[in-house]
Amino acid sequence: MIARWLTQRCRDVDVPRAVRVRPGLARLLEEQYPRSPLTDAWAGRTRADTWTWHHGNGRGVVWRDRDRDVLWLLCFADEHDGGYDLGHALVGVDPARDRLYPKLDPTYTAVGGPTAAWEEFVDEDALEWLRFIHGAAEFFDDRQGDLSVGETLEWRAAGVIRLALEDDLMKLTIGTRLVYADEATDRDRYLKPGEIEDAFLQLVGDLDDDFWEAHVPPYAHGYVNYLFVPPRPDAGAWLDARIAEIVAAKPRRGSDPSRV
Amino acid sequence: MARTTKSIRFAEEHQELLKLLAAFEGLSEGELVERALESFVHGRMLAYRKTLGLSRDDVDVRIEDAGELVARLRDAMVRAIAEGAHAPTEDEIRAGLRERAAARREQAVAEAAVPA
Repeated sequence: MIARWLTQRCRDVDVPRAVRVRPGLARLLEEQYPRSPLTDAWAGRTRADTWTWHHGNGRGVVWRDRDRDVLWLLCFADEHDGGYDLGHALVGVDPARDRLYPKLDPTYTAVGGPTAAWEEFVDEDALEWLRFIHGAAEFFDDRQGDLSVGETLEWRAAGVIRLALEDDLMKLTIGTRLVYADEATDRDRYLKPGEIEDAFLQLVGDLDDDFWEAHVPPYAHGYVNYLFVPPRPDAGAWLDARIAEIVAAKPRRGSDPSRV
Repeated sequence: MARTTKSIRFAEEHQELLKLLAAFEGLSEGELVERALESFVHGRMLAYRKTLGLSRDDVDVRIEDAGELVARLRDAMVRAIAEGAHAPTEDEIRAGLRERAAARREQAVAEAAVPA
């Protein structure tokens, strides 16, 4: 099971360096997945809903288990109890203090941290971009039933997405800046126009060109409004399709940070 | 870059602001207007794209390179204006979408009414 979730770079670069961690992982597998033969291959794959974080010699993976509707956090470190300490330190009860990502750790080094500069690790940049879209897609899918005329639903993570119902039309507002605030060094960038349009089209499921228009109100250049005839998107189906594309190394245009 | 003189009329308080801002930024008034125009174009580009017949690649420019958009915009805008087009207002966008959605519904009804 773990083999399905480790990101490729973690598997190739990080796991071999953590020479004492494999027995612990095997034990965890035994407890979490009794039917495992403990011979699962360490084959890394990329998914939109996984993330790898780094803490000194420790590594971890977080992923959303949709079947059980829980968020798994796998911690491992090459020292006794290090993984537990790291896990407790990273996950705060108060969401504002949650340090899962992209908070830096005291032993952060530029060559191994998840807050590396854009384009340094293209695979992670691509995942981050997909997480942005995926988070918004889930929000859009989960909450559109709560929409009523005159009210705005807002999803706020690294970026901002607002959704509003205006009579027979809907309005999706996309903030043009992604920001990852960090105690040590902020990491941010402006989305390019193509990325913004790509985010909109992926969220709404590639609408017919006739049924959407972009609008930027005067004095609101940090946001782009999309007015559209509402579709019925399915975030789950979208994610499956997107994952298939990623695994096949076919990121869509706008999902390829190397172009940024 | 060649610069020429352009006389334009605009509100006095904004003329004063232009002088103050240019002094504050250490730029000439012309440089300040050039940068403001590029920023304005970049911010509004997605709203212009369809009307100007530009592709997503044409407008997919980082804000740091907003000046690149100006050259692409010029020809497209000359064509669009010659054809009577203008940047649509939000109300015009809404009306257009509703009109097209209604046409699509009518077409679907008409197609359903045709015997197989």
